Parts: sequence; C-alpha cells; structure tokens
Amino acid sequence: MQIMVCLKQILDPELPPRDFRLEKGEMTPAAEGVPLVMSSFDQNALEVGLQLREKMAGATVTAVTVGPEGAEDVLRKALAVKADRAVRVPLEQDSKLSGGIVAGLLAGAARELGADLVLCGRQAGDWDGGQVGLILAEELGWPGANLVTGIEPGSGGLVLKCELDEGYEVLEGNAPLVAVVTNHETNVLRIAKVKDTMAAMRKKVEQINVAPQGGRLELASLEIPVKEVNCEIIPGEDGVEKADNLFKRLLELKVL
Amino acid sequence: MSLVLTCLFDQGSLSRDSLEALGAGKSIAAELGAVLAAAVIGAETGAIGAAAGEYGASKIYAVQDAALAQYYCEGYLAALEAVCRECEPAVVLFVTNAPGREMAPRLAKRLGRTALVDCLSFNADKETGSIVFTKPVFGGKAMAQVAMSDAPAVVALRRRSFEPARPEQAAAETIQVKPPAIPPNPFKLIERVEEQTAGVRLEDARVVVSGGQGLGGPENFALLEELAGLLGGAVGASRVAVDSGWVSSSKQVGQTGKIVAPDIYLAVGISGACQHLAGCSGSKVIVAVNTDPEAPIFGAARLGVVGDYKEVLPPLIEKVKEMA
Ligand SMILES: Cc1cc2nc3c(=O)[nH]c(=O)nc-3n(C[C@H](O)[C@H](O)[C@H](O)COP(=O)(O)OP(=O)(O)OC[C@H]3O[C@@H](n4cnc5c(N)ncnc54)[C@H](O)[C@@H]3O)c2cc1C
Repeated sequence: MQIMVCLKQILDPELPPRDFRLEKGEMTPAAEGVPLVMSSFDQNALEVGLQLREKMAGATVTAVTVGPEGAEDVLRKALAVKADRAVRVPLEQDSKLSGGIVAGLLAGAARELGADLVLCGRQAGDWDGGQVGLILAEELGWPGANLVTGIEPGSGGLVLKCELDEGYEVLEGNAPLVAVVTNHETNVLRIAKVKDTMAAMRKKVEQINVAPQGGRLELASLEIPVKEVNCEIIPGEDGVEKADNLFKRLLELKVL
Repeated sequence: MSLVLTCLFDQGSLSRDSLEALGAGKSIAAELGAVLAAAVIGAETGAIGAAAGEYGASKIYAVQDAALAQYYCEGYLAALEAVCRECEPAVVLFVTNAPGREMAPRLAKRLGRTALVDCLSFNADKETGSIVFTKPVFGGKAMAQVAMSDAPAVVALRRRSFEPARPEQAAAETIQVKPPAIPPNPFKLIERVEEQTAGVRLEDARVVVSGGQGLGGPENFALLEELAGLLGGAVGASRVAVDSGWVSSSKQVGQTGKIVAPDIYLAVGISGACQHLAGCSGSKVIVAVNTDPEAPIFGAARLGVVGDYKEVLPPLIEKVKEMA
C-alpha cells in the first residue's frame, strides 16, 4: 500500500488576532515574524497514515507538499516522524483560494507516485478552503471519504471511521481512495525524537513537477473585522462573590 | 429567468439546515431577480418536495430512485449533477453540514467551477448577476469577499448564519430528473452509531457550558455537566479538550465543530481562539471564566470572570440550585 499524505505549510493559526495584520495594500496577511507550521488537520492525516502503515506489512508513507522551497520544512517534520519519502511539487504563486489548482497538482503527484491511498486534512488553517481532498477525489476519479478519523486494514479492504454530524459511521472501501481527515483524540500527531529530527535534516526531498491548471476564486477584498464587544468584568473578592455577582447580572440580562 | 438552486438532502421533513438554505436562497433569488428552486433526492421525494414548495421554492427538481433512499456521496452527486445540467442554475446552495461540506466542492468540480465553503453573507448585483460572498479566513481573523462571477456559483453556507425560511402560500412546479446512471456506493456501511445525548442537543440548547484545556482533565467536566444539567443546557468543548480525549468530538464547538447560538454561552478555561469563537459568536451572552485576564476570550465575552473555575463554578452551582 502506497500511502500519500498531503501536507501544507501555513502561518501559525494560533497567532492571536491582536498580532494578525495584513500586508500593506495587499490582500494577504503579513508573514514577517509569524512562525510557519504544518497545518493542523494535515498533522492528523499524517498520524492516520503512520498508524495504518504500522498495521500493514510493506506499506509506505510518502509526504507531499505543494509550495515553494521553504515549504520543505513540513516535509522534514514528516520525515522526523518517520515518513518514508518526501516530495515537493513546486508552486511559486501564493496559496490564496487556490484549492482547485493545488488539487490538480496533488493529483499529478499521486499518479506519478502510484499512490493507492491519499490522505488530506479537512481544511487548511490559513485560507480555510476546505476542499482540496474532495476535488482531488474528483480529479483522480476515486471514491472519497470525508471527516475520517482513523483507518484500519480490514478483511475486505480498508475500514474507515468517519464523523457524522451526530455520531460516527464505519465504512469499508477498497483502494484506491481519498480520505479527508478530521481531528480526534486518536490521531494527534506523535512527537518526533530529537535524533530523528536531526536525521531528517539530511534526508533527500524529491521533486515532482506538474503543470498547474485551472483557476482560482477571485478575491475581491480581505479585511480584518472590527469587534465592538466590551467585556464587563464581574467584580468580587473571591470565587463566591464573583459567582454571586455573575448570577445577578445574568438575571438582570434576563437570560437565566 | 435565472435560477437559484438549493440542495436538500433530508428525507421526510425539512431540517433546520435546509430551512436556512431555503431562507438564504430566497433572499439571493430576490436580489438577483431569479427563481428559487430546490433539488430533492431520495427513494420517495414527494413529501420533501412539497415541503420545499411550502417554504418558498417555486420549482422542485426531484430525483427519485430506490438506490437513493439514503444519502451517499457518489449517488447524490450524480443526482445533483443531472439536476444542474437540466436547469443550469446561476447559484447552487449547500449548507456546511456533513453532506454539504463534501458535496459542494465535488459538484463544483464536475461543473468546471470551484466552490466556496463556509460563507456568512452575500451581496448580489442585479445588473451583472454577479455575487460577492463573504467567507471567514485565517480562522476568522480576516474576512474574504469572493466574487463569484461565473455561473454557477457553488456555495456552502455556514450553519446558523442565515434566517430559516418561513412557510408561504405558493404553488410549486415539480420536474422529475433522471440521471444517466446512478453509481453504486463505493463504501460498504459496517456500522452507524448515532450519538444519543441525554438531555438537550448541543445545537438546540438555551445554555451551553463549554470547557477547554484549562479544565486540566476529563474528571473536571463533571462540574460543567452539573451546571448545564441544572440549567437545562448542554456541555460543549474546545478542540484541545476533544483532542485530549476528555470529551467526545461531537461536543466540539467552533469553526470545525458545532455552531451554537444559545442565550448563555459559558466558556470555562477556554482561551478564545477565533476558530473556537466562530462556533459561538451568535450567542446572546458569552460569559468567560478564565484565570488569565489577557486571554482573548475577554475580547469576545459580554461578561467576564477573571479567576479559577474551581473557585467560581461550585458557588455558582449553589446559586442556581437555590433558584430552582
Ligand atoms: C483549521 C483549524 C480549525 C480549528 N477548529 C477549532 C474548533 O472548531 N473549535 C475549537 O475549539 N478550536 C479549533 N481550533 C483550535 C484553536 O485554534 C485553539 O487551539 C483551541 O480552541 C484552544 O483550545 P483551549 O481554549 O481549550 O486551549 P488553550 O488555548 O490552551 O486555553 C486554555 C485556557 O484556559 C485558561 N485556564 C487555565 N487554567 C484555568 C483555570 N483553573 N480556570 C480558568 N481558566 C483556566 C488559560 O488561561 C487559557 O486561556 C482550530 C484550529 C485550526 C488551525
């Protein structure tokens, strides 16, 4: 089983709003001084891939990213948690609203790699597009499972656990397929050992070139919303007083 | 006349999500001077089609087939694709629930378009027929306005962002559509576990008490359960609490969890990341309990208690008990 996991490098989504700025005169966030990280749902996808490999003799995990050379950092992180191979598909344009283009490039990489199972995070933590994995299923003409939290080898193929709006379902399907992964307590990405992180620095990152196709959505404007909430801090010397005062205010606001 | 198509996946009766799609569709159609249509899919679509008509759709495109008795992506996609080829809509609307999230991007791709997921509002230009949709990006730290000038604009609307449609007296025309082929479900269903919630559903609750990383462990959710129980409310959680395995993931509130809009949203030990606030910003009164006066949650809350929840919640619970 050739497992391909799609990873995106993004500006740290945990950056607090007060530090979030836009580039002057441009419809893009200011990147200076903001750490770059692996998008969080992609981390979940990687963990799902690694766990599946442990249960399937001969399975390999290939980490793939679309982006400029700097994006190879996320591939090194994947190598540090023992992905077998790392591949970058170069794309120099910025990533805003480009889910369609990126899905096309990833489909090209999947074909070239001979992947049987492609794992993606449900949405990137920067532009929150939420569609690459799904378009990818269309591009490849493969079945797609959405909101997957874990995959096990089964007697007749792969067994996928998927979230529903209320509850979950367990599906069985045959490769090739695309699984779009969401977060769950069972798929928090493992932490790399220091020696593996060092070793990952020296590993090779391969390159696959695919011609970008398709258009992106047209961004008309990008703005930081203004919040006008004024928080009223509940007074009190201790917990009991604060609780009393909070209770009073809730009654006054007629919500209790 | 151009057409706004809302895609409904319910069987039997219209869900709140579908009513929101119809409500949004109605106002978009009004702005564009277009007709509101609904696509209904199932083994038996009569009732749901009639309901869609009652709630404002004047054209019902029905795909009726025994194979489509239950939702599955590949089958419903084929059905919707056939409907779109038949009626050539200007706008196709979904809601970002589990089916909508997966259908919108895939249908758009089949129609040679890119979808826009999780939209909050729109602005239509009657002259040019083009629509600009607003979508939060960077977890809500910025709002993107995206011009959807090529038809069809395929859009999934964020839940609880649009007023649900109201019933009206109108006659709807029903058009039966037959897809060229209905592909079988590539997945076999082994098991479906519908979560049973004791008490009210998180999304319907009038009071939501949510816990985050600051709770420090699963056992401390008992306090939240008790308070929520006394107030007839439900318990929610941040993603960190879910990822730590303290509560089930169906309790996650936020951009990638449930969207709730209760009268009281009590955030306990939650820092207030915008991805979390995206799920509760429609609440009437947000109350934050947090030890850190600098936590971003105080920038979103109406009432704030700076303090340790372990010292604040027990006396609050006592107060509520006294009231009862
Ligand atoms: C694409 C994407 C989607 C996401 N979707 C969601 C989502 O849907 N929902 C979601 O919640 N998150 C989501 N996140 C994650 C989000 O960015 C935050 O990481 C998360 O919400 C933080 O959870 P938290 O507030 O519990 O933890 P923390 O940020 O660690 O906050 C814990 C808080 O508890 C306080 N605290 C500690 N001890 C106490 C005490 N004794 N009493 C009172 N307060 C105390 C601390 O001061 C702190 O403010 C998403 C992230 C990404 C990138």
